[in-house]
Amino acid sequence: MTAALLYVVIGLATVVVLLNGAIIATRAALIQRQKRLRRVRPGTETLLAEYLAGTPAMPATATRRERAVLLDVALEAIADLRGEERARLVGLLEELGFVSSAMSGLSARRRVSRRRAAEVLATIRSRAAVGALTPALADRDALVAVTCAYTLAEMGGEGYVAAVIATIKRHAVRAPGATAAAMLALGAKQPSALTPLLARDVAPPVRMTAIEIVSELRLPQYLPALRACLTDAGGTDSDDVAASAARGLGLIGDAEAVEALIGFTSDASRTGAARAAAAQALGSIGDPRAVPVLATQLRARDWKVRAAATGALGGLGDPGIAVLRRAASSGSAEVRLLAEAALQP
Amino acid sequence: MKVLIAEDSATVRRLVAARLIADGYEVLEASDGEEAVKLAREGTPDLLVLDKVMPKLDGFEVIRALREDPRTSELPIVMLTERTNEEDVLGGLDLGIEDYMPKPFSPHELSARVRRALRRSGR
Repeated sequence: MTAALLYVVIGLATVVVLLNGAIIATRAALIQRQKRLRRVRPGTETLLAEYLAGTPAMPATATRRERAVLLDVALEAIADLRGEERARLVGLLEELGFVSSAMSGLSARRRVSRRRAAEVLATIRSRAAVGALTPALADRDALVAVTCAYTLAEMGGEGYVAAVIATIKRHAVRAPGATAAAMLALGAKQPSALTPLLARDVAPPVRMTAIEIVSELRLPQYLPALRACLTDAGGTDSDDVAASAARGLGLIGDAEAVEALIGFTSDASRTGAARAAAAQALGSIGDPRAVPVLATQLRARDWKVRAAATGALGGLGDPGIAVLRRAASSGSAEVRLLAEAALQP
Repeated sequence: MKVLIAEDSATVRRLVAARLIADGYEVLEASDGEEAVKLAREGTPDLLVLDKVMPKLDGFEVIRALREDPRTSELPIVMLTERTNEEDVLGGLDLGIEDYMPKPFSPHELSARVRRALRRSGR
């Protein structure tokens, strides 16, 4: 029994020693590799900069190490560049086979390789890669598919919009950050392309992201769609969407939405947060027709609505200020404090 | 005319340097904020191209250090900022930068802005 135990202990100790040895050897190899790469890097940076500035000599890419360093340096620089130098760098990467290699990488078996290939192509944004990016929208990995959608959106071209939108809808829950980036690229490059994402049958989180993007980009062509989002049927999700839409209408400054926002602000069946957003939007638009409803909402049950109405009145000129002055002598301490704060210059 | 370029990405820095040299400027290079302050004080540049995001001292800290020193308090600065960061732009303008360029940027355009900034500052 004791001998068997001893064998087990010796066996375990050997495994631990071997594992430690393997870890140390791997780390040493990695450190050595990084040192070698660091030695090559300054020369590559100089040669690449000179090439981009117009000298005909290309940076060396004879060995795998030189190619790896060149790709790293190029990807780092390309993100900071646009115009002639960017185009020259993209041309260089195409000529040296980095783009075609990444295109092949999109059909690799390993997910990590496909993700890396998609990221490389997203950074380079070479038109030569379109043929590989389009089928990759169907990749089973959300990040690969959405990164490719982002790249196509960044490159523009109406031909990809439907496929990009479908990819965004499919993966919005699993990859919300990446889909938001793709939507932003789409909204910036194709200002009318986001319409399908504002439709009523789209999942509320996707719809809200799309609303935020068109609002932040101040795209007035979406105002009818934003008004529709505001007046959708009730329900918590719908109120969240409506609150985003109200913020958007306020940001863009839609005078045509004033009546709908007035109705929404005083609709007690809506959540306080959504009504508060509508009240704030009325303040941002600055139409004096909103004064009576906002004055009434100073006595709303929900404190968010009361606070938003007070702030909004401050943006409605003399009629709003007159209401706030009256509120500053209100019997309610809270209303008084809010009104006094809103009257501060 | 002498231009100091403070940018931590070596490729971008050297590319901007090559462009400015081709346009007839003498160029000094700094790869971090501390080196930028040192070279601005000792190298007597006529203009500083300054990246906002840098190691050791960021762009704003560099500007503050330069504005406190009589040797560099009037040095015109063109700052490279992140594309969508309004705070960078407003912060830089508040600190008295001459101009800014959002990244990604065109070195050709930067060279034109350097020319304009030097002209405006009477150098």
